[in-house]
Amino acid sequence: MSEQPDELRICPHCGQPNAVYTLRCIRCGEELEELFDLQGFEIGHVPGSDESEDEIASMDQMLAALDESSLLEDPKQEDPDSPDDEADEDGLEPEVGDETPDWLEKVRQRAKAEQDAADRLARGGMAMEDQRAERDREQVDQAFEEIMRRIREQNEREKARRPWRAESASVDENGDPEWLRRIRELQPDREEDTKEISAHSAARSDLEDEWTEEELQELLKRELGQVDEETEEEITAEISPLRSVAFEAEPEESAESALLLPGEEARAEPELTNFHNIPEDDEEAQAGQPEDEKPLIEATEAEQPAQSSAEKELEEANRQNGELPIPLEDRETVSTQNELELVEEAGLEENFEQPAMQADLQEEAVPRDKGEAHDQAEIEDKSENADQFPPENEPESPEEPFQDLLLLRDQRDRARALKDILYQEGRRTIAVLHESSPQGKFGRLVLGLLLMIGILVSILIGPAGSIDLPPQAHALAFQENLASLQPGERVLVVMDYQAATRHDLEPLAARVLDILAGNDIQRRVVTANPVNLLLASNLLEPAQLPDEFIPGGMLGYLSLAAASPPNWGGLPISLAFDGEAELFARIDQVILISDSADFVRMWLEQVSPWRAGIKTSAITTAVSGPMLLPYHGSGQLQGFVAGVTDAKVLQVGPQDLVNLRAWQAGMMLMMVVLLLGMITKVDQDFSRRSEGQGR
Amino acid sequence: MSSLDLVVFFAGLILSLMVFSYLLGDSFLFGIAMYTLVGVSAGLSALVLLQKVILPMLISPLGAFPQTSSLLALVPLVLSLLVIWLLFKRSSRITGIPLGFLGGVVTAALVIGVSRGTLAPQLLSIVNAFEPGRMTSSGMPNWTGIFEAFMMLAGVLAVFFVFHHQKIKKKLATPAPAWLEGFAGVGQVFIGVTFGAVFVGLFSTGLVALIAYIQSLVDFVGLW
Repeated sequence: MSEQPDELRICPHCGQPNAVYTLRCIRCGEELEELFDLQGFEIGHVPGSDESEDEIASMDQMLAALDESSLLEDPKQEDPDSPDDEADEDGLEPEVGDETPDWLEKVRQRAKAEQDAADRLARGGMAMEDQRAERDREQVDQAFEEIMRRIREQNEREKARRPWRAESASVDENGDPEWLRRIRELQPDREEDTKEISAHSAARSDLEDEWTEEELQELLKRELGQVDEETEEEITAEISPLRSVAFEAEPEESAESALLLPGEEARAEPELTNFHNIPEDDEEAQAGQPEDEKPLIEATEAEQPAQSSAEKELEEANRQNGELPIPLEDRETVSTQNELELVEEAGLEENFEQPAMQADLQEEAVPRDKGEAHDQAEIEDKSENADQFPPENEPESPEEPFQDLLLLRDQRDRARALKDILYQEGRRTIAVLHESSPQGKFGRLVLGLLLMIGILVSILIGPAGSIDLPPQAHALAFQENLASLQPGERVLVVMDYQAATRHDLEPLAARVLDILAGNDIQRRVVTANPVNLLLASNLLEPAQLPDEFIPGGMLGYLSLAAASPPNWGGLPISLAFDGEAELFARIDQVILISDSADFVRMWLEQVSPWRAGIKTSAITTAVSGPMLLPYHGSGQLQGFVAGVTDAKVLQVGPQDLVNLRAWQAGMMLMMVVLLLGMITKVDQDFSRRSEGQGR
Repeated sequence: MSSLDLVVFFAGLILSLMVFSYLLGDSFLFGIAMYTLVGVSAGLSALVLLQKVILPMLISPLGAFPQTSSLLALVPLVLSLLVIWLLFKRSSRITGIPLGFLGGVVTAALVIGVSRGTLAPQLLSIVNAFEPGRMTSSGMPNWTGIFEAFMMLAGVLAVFFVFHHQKIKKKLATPAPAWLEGFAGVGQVFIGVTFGAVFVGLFSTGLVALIAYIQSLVDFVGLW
């Protein structure tokens, strides 16, 4: 009967399609008499009858007529007390046969035979229908009772737990709230690490607690890996439980899905023993699971027995290993509830469910031994990640005080974030540039002391020594330019250096001034740096101190070089001069004594273009030499000497220079330190690269 | 040795030790030494400016008022008063006149100076390096000149590509072409060599100063 459920029977009265087994039309209420067209008992098609005149008898009327007919009565039920029923019946037939015609007798016999078949058929169908309805009612009642029993037990547990919650919500003797203690017990290892760090923080410097680049990279990689592993692990572990919890919500929605409950009792029963702190809203949300979940449940319910057996084996293996104190169903319950939260999130619904279901179906489609291997691999994976998820995989304590503390994934993530924030409290999250570590301070101190000791020993031992370096092109050019000056020419000497570099400049400047004086070359010394008014006493006689201070620095030089005095008077800056106001009047060369390459460059940019006929050369320090080479190459700077290394060109006496042996010792020491630093850096880079490749 | 020299020597010794305390970190003593240096330099500059600039160039001309020099001296005087007024009322527009004038002059001088004094001469220098007279010597190739010219051109272009590459790299998500990466690497080599030379010069200058002061200490101790 149920093999062709799509067949419809058209009502002959109103044309309404009805189910094939419907006795009356659902629209007009008329009986569908074509239901049981018995062979040879077609009332409407009795030979000799007229269809337009005779009404078609209904099935029940026909059956009633057959029941009332004495001809079709069962002789055994008619009078069981009569011993000679058969004989009477046998004896009656001849009598009847004697009185009735043959055709009538045949009709009655035929009707009797077919009445028996129709009666058995109708009664059998009704009995089957009654039996099925009875079974459905029993299953619905059983499912309803099961749900009510769960709700009652859960309410009783909630009531029993409420006083404990209120009591545990208090603050302990250390002032830590309950939630913080739970977080700490969830991750005991990290808590111990934190305690160790805090205990040793006094011995360590605060710089070690800072995040270095390597630590940040490692932390970033670890966190990323942890998140990925966690996501994958939870997805693989939480897909299958989704069915069970989703299934719990189904019976309330449809009776059809309630038929599945008896088969799922064994699976759903362990959940009753679990405590959880899921808010009631979440459970209501579970109960109100969307209808879209139904195909998911029906599609996978066939594999659930095998899944249950695999989970039981996994639980046994976990218990043997002692790694998972929480039963598998508990974790699955948590995961399942987490899944429900995920399902409620619209964005994740389509992206997560379908691939997860496909993966789940593939997993469950493998043979049982493969499923066991997969479970074992999952256990091993969890064991490997035990350090990352200690509260899930490690026994917390013998008493397991928070055995019932099951967190949703969102709650767990927030708790973890809060724990991280508390863990990083007072720590620097951004690496500070140019801040050295204690090792760096110690190394700097050792290096400084080594340098000073080396210099001191070099000064105390032996003569000052000399430097026999090959002359540089720019130094030779400076020497040639200086030698090209003829007696009577005028040279402008511009001083601009600090006291710190005077030992690098003044020996050279003094030698140049001596050469100028020896060649009877006029000189004019000016400066725009107030410090040089004092430092010039080291070079010049007191009577030759620069009395011409140029105000305004480079702008003062620019104004003197670019501007020309008007006919009606002089420039305001001419008041700075006691004598001749024009600075560049009759000047053939300019010699800059400066420790700054920028000053020389500014002079070449601002002043020299206005006085193109004046040659410029410079006495500078070694640090400015490389910066001035391009200007010497372009011809803007005739030449320059840079520091003590070019002193040989000017034939500066060793007595006027610093101790060159100490200078050589210091340079050699610095070269060794630089080489060691390079080797160390290369080694660190190689090690880091190797670690990166290893990962 | 006079007592003044002795006092100056011990003052210098104490200040030197305070500066050497920087080896142990940015300590309080090092700060005191630095503040002393800045204070002494500022005081000296103030005195020199007062003596060499303010009095002779701003105050003295006002004594000959009817003359042109005194009238011209009013211009810096007014500008100076406006700058002083700026210390008390910063929101006034009129106080921005001297600063605007000074900023405009400095900016114009820098732009013109860089163009005339650095950019144009340096470009011409590169071009002149390929002058045939420099690349040949008595009818034979001057390999040194040729190598120097091409190295100069390659160095300039490679350093340009370094900065261009860094600028583009921040904007584009796709990696730059291999030849650009390689050329930028060559430019980084040039920059590294330049910075290395600057570092050596810096260390040499500092080392000379250190040796000179240690020598002075040794000489002073040798006197006793």
